[in-house]
Amino acid sequence: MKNYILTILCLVIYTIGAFAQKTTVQVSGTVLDEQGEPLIGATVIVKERPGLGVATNIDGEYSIQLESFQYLEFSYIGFETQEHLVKDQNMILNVVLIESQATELDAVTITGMGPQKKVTVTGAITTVDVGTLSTPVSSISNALAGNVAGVIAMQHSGQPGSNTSEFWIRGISTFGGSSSALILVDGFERSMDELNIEDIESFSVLKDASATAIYGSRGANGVILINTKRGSDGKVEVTGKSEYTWTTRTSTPKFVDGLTYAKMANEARISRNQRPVYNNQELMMIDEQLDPDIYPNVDWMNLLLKDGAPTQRSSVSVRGGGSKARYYLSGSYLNEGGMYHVDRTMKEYDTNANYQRYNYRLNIDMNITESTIVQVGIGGALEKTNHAGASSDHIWNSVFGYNPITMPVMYSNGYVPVIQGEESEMLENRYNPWTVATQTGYAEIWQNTINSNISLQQDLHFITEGLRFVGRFGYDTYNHNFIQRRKNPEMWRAERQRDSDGRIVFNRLVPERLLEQFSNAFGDRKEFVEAELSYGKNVGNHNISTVVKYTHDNYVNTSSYGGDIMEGIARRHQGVAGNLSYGYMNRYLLNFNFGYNGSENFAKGHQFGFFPAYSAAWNVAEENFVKDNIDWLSMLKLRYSYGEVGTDNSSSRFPYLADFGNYERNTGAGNQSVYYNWGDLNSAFGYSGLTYTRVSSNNVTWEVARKHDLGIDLYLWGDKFGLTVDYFAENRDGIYMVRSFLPDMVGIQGQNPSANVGSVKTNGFDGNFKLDNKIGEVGFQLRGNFTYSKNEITEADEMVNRYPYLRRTGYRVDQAKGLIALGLFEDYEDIRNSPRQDFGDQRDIMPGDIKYKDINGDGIINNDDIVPIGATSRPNLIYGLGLSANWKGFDFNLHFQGAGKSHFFIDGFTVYPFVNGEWGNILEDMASSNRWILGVNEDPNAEYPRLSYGGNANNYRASTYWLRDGSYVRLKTLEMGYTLPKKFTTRFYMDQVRFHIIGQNLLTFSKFKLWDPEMGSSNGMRYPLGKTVTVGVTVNI
Amino acid sequence: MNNQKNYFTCIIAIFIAIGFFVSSCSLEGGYEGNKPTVPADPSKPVLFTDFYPKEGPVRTLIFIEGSNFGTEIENIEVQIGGVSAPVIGSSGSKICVMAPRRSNRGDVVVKIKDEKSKLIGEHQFEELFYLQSALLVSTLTGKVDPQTNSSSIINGSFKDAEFQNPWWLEFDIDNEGNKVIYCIDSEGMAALRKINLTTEEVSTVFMKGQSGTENVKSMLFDTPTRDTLFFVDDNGRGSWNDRHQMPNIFYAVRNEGFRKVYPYLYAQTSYSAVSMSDGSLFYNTWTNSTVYKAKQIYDEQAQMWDGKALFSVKANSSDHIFMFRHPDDLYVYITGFNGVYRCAYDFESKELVSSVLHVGDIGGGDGYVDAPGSSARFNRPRQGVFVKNKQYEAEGRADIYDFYVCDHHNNAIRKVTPDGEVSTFAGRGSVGVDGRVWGWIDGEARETARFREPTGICYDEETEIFYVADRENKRIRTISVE
Repeated sequence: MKNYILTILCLVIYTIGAFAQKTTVQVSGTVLDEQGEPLIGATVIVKERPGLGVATNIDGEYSIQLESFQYLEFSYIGFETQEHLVKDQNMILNVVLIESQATELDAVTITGMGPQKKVTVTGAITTVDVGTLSTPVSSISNALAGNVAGVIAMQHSGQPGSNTSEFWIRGISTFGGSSSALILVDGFERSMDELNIEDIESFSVLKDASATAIYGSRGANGVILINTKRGSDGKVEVTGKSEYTWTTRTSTPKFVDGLTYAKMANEARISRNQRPVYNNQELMMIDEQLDPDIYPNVDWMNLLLKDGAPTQRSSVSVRGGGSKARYYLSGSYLNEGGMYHVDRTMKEYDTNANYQRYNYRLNIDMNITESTIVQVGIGGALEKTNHAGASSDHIWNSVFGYNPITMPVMYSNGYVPVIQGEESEMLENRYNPWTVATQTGYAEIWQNTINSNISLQQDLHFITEGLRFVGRFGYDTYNHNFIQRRKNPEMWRAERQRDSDGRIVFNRLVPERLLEQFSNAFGDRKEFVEAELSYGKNVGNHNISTVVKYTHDNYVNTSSYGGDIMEGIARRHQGVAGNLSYGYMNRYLLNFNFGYNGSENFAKGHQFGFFPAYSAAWNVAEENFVKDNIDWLSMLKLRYSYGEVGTDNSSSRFPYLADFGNYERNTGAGNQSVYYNWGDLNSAFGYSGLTYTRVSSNNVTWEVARKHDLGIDLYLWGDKFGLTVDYFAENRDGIYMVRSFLPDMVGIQGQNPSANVGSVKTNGFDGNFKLDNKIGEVGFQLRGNFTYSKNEITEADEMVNRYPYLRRTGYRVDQAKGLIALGLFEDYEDIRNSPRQDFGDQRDIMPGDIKYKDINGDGIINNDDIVPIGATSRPNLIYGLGLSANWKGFDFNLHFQGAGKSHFFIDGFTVYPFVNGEWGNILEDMASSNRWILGVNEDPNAEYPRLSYGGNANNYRASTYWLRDGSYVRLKTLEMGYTLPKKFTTRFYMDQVRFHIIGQNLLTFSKFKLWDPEMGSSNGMRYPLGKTVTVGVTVNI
Repeated sequence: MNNQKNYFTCIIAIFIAIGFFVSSCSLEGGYEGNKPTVPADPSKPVLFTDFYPKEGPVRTLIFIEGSNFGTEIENIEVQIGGVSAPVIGSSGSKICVMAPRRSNRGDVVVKIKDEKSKLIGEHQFEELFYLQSALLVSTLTGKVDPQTNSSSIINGSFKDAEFQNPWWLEFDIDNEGNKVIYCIDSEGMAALRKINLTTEEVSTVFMKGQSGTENVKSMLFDTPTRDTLFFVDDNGRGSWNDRHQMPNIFYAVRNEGFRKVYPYLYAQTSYSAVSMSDGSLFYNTWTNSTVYKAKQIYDEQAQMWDGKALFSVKANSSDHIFMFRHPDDLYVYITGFNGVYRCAYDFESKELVSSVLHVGDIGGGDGYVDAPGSSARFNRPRQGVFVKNKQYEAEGRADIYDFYVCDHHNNAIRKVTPDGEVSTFAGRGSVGVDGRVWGWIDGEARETARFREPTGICYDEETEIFYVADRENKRIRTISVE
């Protein structure tokens, strides 16, 4: 044993000695470009000796000491890397680097099968330059709209921690289960919301069936592929980035002041022949604030919201390695502040909304043998969210609900005012905005995600050349913890008048609630296994490649289902997918893909589905007759694909299983058990009958999408101009839905089964172009993209209707429907001569009320006259246009984004003035608009109808009158950067230093002014979207 | 080279400056406490220019104009007619005060003090404030804990006394000549309270446990002697067969101070009764809202007198209904079914004759509408009282009484004329943006005042004051011209 140790020791010493024997040589010289200009800051490293390297100085000179017989590597961004062998003597080595000639044609597209040359791709895939997505947003999903062709996205809220965008690839094409895309991070299904943008290496969107077939069932709604950065051999590269963002709001609803509100309340009542609320004396008291307890005047919005909020982001990454092992290590921190004011007298905790995230990632690639690579990746995120004890919805409901004159912020004796409440109830959404935002305690949420994956790549060239095996295993865990500490002060409401001694009469409406705690937690676990065998070979001009892939995934969410066994069972998928492609001289390309997928959610015999996809492409530019004659045509490729994809996204678990239970009947006061009485009158001795509580749906199976895609890729003058346009059409059949129109005589007591019945037809276009050019020293790029998608329900489970426009079939999924407004009634004559409007009491209809169109001509306007109007609240068209330019160290980037074909109704108590009496503030825009005013402005085309107090059944309903166009164009990004000259930075041993300033959402152009149209909100009661200004610095060492 | 360096420094400085600008944006704001008051400036003169309005009833808000008043109301003193007027607010150039009671003299004196409570300005306006008379609602007695809005049965002076839920009132003059109101405290009679208007004291006559009653819904003095006080009991015995199980009417007598309660009648559950001038007694019951004449049929077997069923107030309908005798025995009003029914009295047969709807919805629907006859709407009308209308008397009409009734769920006192005109007499004032009509607000009966579920009412003919049992406010209110 001792001998062994000795031997090893000796060996080690010998090795060290062997190193020591090598001679050290001195190499110096200059690095120039082809014009003979010195390259400043070019990297000179010793190959495979990470950390050993220098940069050239302002004259392009370098000097380095190294051991003999090593390779020196010279590299500079935008230039081809060169290697030179250094022998055992000092030497002067002058190098001329040549500008790299890589063009778009050599560009690589990340597909489901791995990286593939763009020229050979036959499916519809958008690869996005990550640089354009790298904007100061907390989630990359917010950068998708207008940047990525084929993605339709909208952001609903700006609240820190929940400000991610919802998005759909090529729009929505189902109304059944999920319509969201599959997101794969490093090959595994993961969320991209908590991903650090700086970690992303590549971002691709797979849109058509041939591209997604390999993912089988899960890819029916499109796939997003994200690969994180990996190590690379070469000099150690340290990148740090720090940003400070000041977030304000794109649009904040503005409300009227107290006096205007009071006058309008009077007007609303007078115009409906009711007594006014305030007399002149009271109006004066509001105006002059003579009695701020009873006649206050509060600007709640201003009280609640700060001008803006800060966000900090920092990230640092280290990247390096040698030929045996490479690593990428990164960490980042994000702190997004909220815009609520806080009670500064409260020091113990913060009630403001806040979102913090820590990210880390470690990717290591190791070459275990010459032909075996093991890749290990560990990434994770810790997210902490803080908000007030009451939810954000309550805050926004309250700030929109409290009018300026009902309540002061605080009564002069220190009592907390509340508009409504009962001793027993906790009507948080009726607390005043200041109370609800600052006096209700606080809540903390923290989420912890750990993603780990390991993969093994084995080159099987010893069996046959081109054969490769990849095995992957991934294991993700996630947990979500929520702890809320709730309290509220005692709350009061003063009587409308003082007592005869001039004192305020208070009524206590809400008792004090001491700090209470609520908490919950849940977590889930995902496991994935993939095994892939690929083979590729070039025989002359023929290129064949094939892939067979087995996948298995397992998802368990254990903690929030209690005793529900069915929900506790892991959700599993299993599938085999394959690909066979053939190419002839990159000119004719054929591709066959298939997925054979199983889901345990279906009954035996319906579990597996076979989903094939075919695609073909013709590279016209590769034809000799083109090559010889049209040299500016670099690439012209025509693509077509057709394929089927299935999806098992049904909401219910194991729909094929039946369930039994005691018969319950809804008696109006909730479900009550019904039993047979075997006792006597007034002496119950009952046994319940057993019945189906769920009827099995045996034949439920895959929802199938049949997708066509026709595309063209065009590149001119190298890669100076590029254009990709795709037309797509999809038929989604067998959409899973509950059969809701079964007659009672079937006898299943409302426990209706489900079936694959719905169909949706979708088609549209998407595309993008870019134009690169350089004029003098100014390089610029113009790029644009658009996505348009339209869907139509071709079959839905619904009743036959004599008016076809009342059906869902034939219209968009989530089509907006309402009455058609013909303006406002001019006078009573007009009312008498018009069809009867059956909403509310007809005697209440007055001039200035909304006049509707009688669609079916029956002389009565009722729900049968509701027709599809406008489109959907989701945009059906998204486009973006960007321009970037650079000159010397300066760079400039401008990006416009727009959305169109979207309509939404506005409603609720801020839009319908005084609909709930005192609850609901009045928008300033409404007060100052061209609205109908009795005796002042009786314009039949006014923007708002005759005021009414306490609601109006005729006016306040969905109609074209309240339908708003949600299209908008906004200056999404305006970026200016300055990179310090190399001459300067090299002195500080830095490679690159760039300062930047980015403005986001700086300008928004829209017909709709009340709040941000992107939110698609009908009442604006949400945390507004952010308008941000960011300053930042990136340092590369 | 040096120039270039400056140029870079410049750019860096610009970025840093932007950063500072961005981060220095205001973080102040939010609620910062009540607006601080501004004291009057002793170095400047206090000017008084005018006040308005120059006339109005008690509680009128009067605005005094001038300058340098300060906004601290503690330092402002206003006397009208020698009575201190509550200061509501001040903007420095305008003071708002409330016209107090008994300020008939009308001279308006304003005193302004500075921070150190030193008098720096005093003024008496030449013009007087003319205090107009008006029908006002005031609070007589009833203390409530504002914290919990709760109260109990507590005796004492008007300032300290508490009521549980005053429900039913009867006005009386006791043997010593004191004006007294007997009050059923809480529906079902937890206690009989005695409100002595002369000594301004509230006492308890008896508690429920001492009386042996079950669930007293109303009371009445016998006619014509007023020596007996009947209590009508909802004993819960709805069926005819159960009629002898429990008393439905109890009585107490004046010479015992109404302290002892005896059973008077055993019959089905009842809510109210009327005693006519000739001494005949009528009561009603739940089933089919039948009206009975008491003690008409002798049941040999039980050795008890049974009542004689006369008619249904509303056919095939049952409700809690309450009967009120016209002071001239012309008819009896019955409140219930969200209306007021009238049945004539047959002086010969000494029986009430079948009822007709006087005002309210024929179907019994509720609502709030001031209108004649069957267009009017009520919501649970409860106790009412007949009040002589001097105008009718002058016109020489046969029926000279108006009927004032507590409209329980409409939070109002309604007035019903003999012709069937319904109007709101008091309550539902100060309508605000919340549209709420209930609450505890004193003041002008129609414009300002509010009640909260008033159920009992009585009237002092001599002083022309109405007393209202304001059930959910747990207070006794008055309505009178001041």
